[in-house]
Amino acid sequence: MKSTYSKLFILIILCAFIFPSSLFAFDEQRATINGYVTEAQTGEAIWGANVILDGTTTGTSTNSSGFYTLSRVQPGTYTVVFSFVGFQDKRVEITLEEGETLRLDAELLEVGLEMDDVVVEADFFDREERQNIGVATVPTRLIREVPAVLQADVFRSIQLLPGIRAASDFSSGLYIRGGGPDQTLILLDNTTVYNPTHFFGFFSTFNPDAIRDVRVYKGGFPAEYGGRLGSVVSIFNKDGNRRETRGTASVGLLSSRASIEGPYSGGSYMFAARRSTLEPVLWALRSSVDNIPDSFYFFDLNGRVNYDAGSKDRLSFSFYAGMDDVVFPAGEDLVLNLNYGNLTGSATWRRILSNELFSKVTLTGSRYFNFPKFEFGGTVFERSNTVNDFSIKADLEWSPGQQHTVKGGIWAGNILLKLADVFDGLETQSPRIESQYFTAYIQDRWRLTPKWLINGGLRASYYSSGEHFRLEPRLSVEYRATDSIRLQTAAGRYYQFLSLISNEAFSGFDTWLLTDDGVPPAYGDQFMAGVKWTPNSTYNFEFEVFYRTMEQLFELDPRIPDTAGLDYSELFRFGTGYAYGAEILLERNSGRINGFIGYTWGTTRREFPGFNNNNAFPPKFDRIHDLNVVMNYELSQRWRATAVFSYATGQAYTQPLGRTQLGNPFGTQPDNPLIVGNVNASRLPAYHRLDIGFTRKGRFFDLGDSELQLQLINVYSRRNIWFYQFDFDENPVKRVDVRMLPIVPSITYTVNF
Amino acid sequence: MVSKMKSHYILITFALILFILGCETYNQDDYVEQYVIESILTAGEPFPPVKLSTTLPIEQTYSFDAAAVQNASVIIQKLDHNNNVIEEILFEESEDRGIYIPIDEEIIVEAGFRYKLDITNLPHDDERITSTTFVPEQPEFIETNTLEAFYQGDVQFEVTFFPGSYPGRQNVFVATSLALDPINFGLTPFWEGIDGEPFEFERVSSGLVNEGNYDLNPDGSVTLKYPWIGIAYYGPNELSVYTVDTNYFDYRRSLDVQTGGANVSPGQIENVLWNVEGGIGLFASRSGISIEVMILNPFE
Repeated sequence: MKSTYSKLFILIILCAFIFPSSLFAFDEQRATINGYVTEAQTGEAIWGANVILDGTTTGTSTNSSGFYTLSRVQPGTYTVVFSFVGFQDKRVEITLEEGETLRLDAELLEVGLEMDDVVVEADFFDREERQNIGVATVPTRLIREVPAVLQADVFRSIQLLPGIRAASDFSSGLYIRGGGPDQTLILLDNTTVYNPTHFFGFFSTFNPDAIRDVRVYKGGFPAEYGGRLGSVVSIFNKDGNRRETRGTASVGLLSSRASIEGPYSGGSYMFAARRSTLEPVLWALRSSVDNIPDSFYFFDLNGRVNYDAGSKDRLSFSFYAGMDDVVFPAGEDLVLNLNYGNLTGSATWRRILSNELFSKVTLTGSRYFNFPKFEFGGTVFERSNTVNDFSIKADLEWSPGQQHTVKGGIWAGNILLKLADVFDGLETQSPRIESQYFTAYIQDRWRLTPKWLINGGLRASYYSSGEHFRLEPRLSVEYRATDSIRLQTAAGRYYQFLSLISNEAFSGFDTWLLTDDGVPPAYGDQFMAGVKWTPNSTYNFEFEVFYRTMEQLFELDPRIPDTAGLDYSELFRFGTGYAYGAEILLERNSGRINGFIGYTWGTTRREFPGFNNNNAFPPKFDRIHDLNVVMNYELSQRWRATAVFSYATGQAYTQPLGRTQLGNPFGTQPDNPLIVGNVNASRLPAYHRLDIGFTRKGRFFDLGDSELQLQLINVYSRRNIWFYQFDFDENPVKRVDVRMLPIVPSITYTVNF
Repeated sequence: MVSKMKSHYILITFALILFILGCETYNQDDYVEQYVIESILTAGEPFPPVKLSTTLPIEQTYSFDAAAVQNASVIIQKLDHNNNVIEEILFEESEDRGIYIPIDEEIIVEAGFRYKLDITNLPHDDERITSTTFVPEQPEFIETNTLEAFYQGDVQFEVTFFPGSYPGRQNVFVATSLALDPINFGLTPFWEGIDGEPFEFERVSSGLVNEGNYDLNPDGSVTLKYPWIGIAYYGPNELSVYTVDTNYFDYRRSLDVQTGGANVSPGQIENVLWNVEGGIGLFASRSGISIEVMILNPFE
């Protein structure tokens, strides 16, 4: 069986590379148009811009590099229309000769705010971009403008999308369509980020100043992505302004940011830095409040340099470095020190191989580190926990005609997980798991007719740890019922070779684990269907339903108190799960009042043998109803108001039904076991919160434009309940509400120069 | 018109599917009273009392007296390797409600044997509570490096012993210290900083520690370095290392998760693992070694 798999795997690799290259040269009589679409003001690539030959059904959209190809076009005269929501259309008259290849780059001008005519292009989500089912893009403008606790945050903005939920006010973790955070692949410039959090989970690591694109594949993602059961968040750093040198500086309550970008003779660059500025607050609190950290800070650096090596080649180098560090004297003779963060880097070479063939080769490196150290009563506990992942990715995009866009690629690398615990000078465990991985995919976006679009693909994955080889078929179908209505469906098989030990309350100790002997990869099937209706340029309506399964979910068995001496497979519990739901998105994209409403109805279940009497139960983050309303109101040329209202069914929790008391043979105080029935069968009170923000545009001493943001989080200070604790010092047991954020003001001042 | 009707049918069907799916039932169940047993055997010591009670609703004030179950028949059977009864230890109800004591207080718990607790004559005729424990093999003390040391000094207590074996799994230890003169000697700095009454720290213990943490000495023995955090009081202390049975192991590891685990969401509570038929509770056993040491206060 393994031999058959191996042959199939080799065949797929060959298909990915040999098949396209042998065919791209036929049909010499027809013409080809290709090129890059960029923003006029900055030169940034636009991902997902539409390129259409006016009056025909011929068209395509740009890839993540902003590149497009229209091949096998009949010779003649055309008007090429470039469009992207939030930008003015660009129309270019062209005449194509037989066999001609026309390089046609386009620069699109961003639509400004025209208050006199009350025309505001909001581009909350660029809808042409969101062509495929389950896909959403989050513009950086939304991230910057949505009221956010203390600082703008990428993941907090993503959490507003239907189908995506937050675990609590304190967690930026993404819970997408019934999956936990580890079921979402986080990519920064095509590089995996293993712990995308600051402040132990409160914020995500991504600096909004440094980001160009955020694309979320909530499910049903194509074969070019893999490695996770549920979803993908792909984030790209800015290329850097190719027209002029620009910068920004921002001062906030929690952190301050600065960035600079601009052109140079060979291309463009961008550097951004962010650091927490809590020291004055900590200093002020230290004199009056106990247990204030001796030191606490986080920082991150982002950078990208592009080099244009001729008209066909582009090189880019990108990096990210971020770290959190806290030293916390928690009590007498008790000091906690935690240091964790990520380093990522990538080098990408994009090349136009021919009229119809575009290639991209990326070298990636990602390191996650986590070094907690506790000193209590003269006893020291230290942990060294690292993930090192180095890989090479190669992708080919082949557009042999107007009907097909074929993509193929490989992703191969080495991942090394190391964990070493030292307790009181004694190394208690030092597992080291290393795996080589090799994945390959091929997919075809086939426009069968102007109304029918099929995207089918196959992905093959191999992990040497445990020698697991898996195939993942993917398929999506779109039917354009009318110009404004798209009916879509998708299905696929997904595998996951990693598992995360984490906690929604604290991500500072996150630990990744790999498949191995006796620990097969988790897998699941996804099915979804939806309709997208865009009656005009103002409104957009989307409705999607989904159902997904989760099998062989492997996670660290929480009932294992000590892993020493156990076989690796004994550390896990293996379970199943499923989720289903429906999502509605209603957008108003233009006008003085604009915004969107997202609603999700859903159910999620997990089941682990030996737990909850072997019955399925809802995880804590399961919510039946989830509603987010985001509204923008342009008060004047200078002032803009933003409001976000969120409502959700209360999260699941376990209601203790009874109690008993047993003597502790190894202590002086009795144990107080709780007696529970169905796990997580009760619900906390419903969650709701209103955030508002005001932005004032101005000038900063004629040095640049400025923005003052005043925000109030949780305006009516509803103390939503996070979870219940039980105080056994009281008799009868007293239930204690652990609440989430009260009202929180925030102020940020930004200067763009 | 027909097309419009079809659309309506599709919509209605779709709505119906959603409604049916939305009716997935997972409801909060009600409290059910259960019997609770408690008896922890220690190898080499007489049989401890057996406590018998019931659970109480969470909202009710807890007292063992209110939950105690009287008039039961309690017996512990010593079993051979084929589960044949080779000895019976009879219990009688003491003056304290729900507490049953052995009639013959001289009988000693023996390591390496299986014991079965059998409780009958409960309020309802068909009720019976049983639970079985295998008493771990008795560890054999070999030596200690010192009997006196300054707290957090250069020399740390080390205990070397033969751990014995436990059927089906590696040994699991619990290390514990008992302050022998807490009146005249004070708390160590770490424990002094912990909230709680000083008497609560007279006995402090480690969690469950796998034998796999330690390299075996060439002679098969294990040397356990006693961590300073495990000592709460200066002065004379009894340091002990126990091997625990599966019932206690399951109980403790699952009880600890009730208050949260590394990857358990806050508020999600799972029941404790009870190895008891007809009720819940703990019928467990342990075998251990102890030494008496002196902890000197370096600040005096």
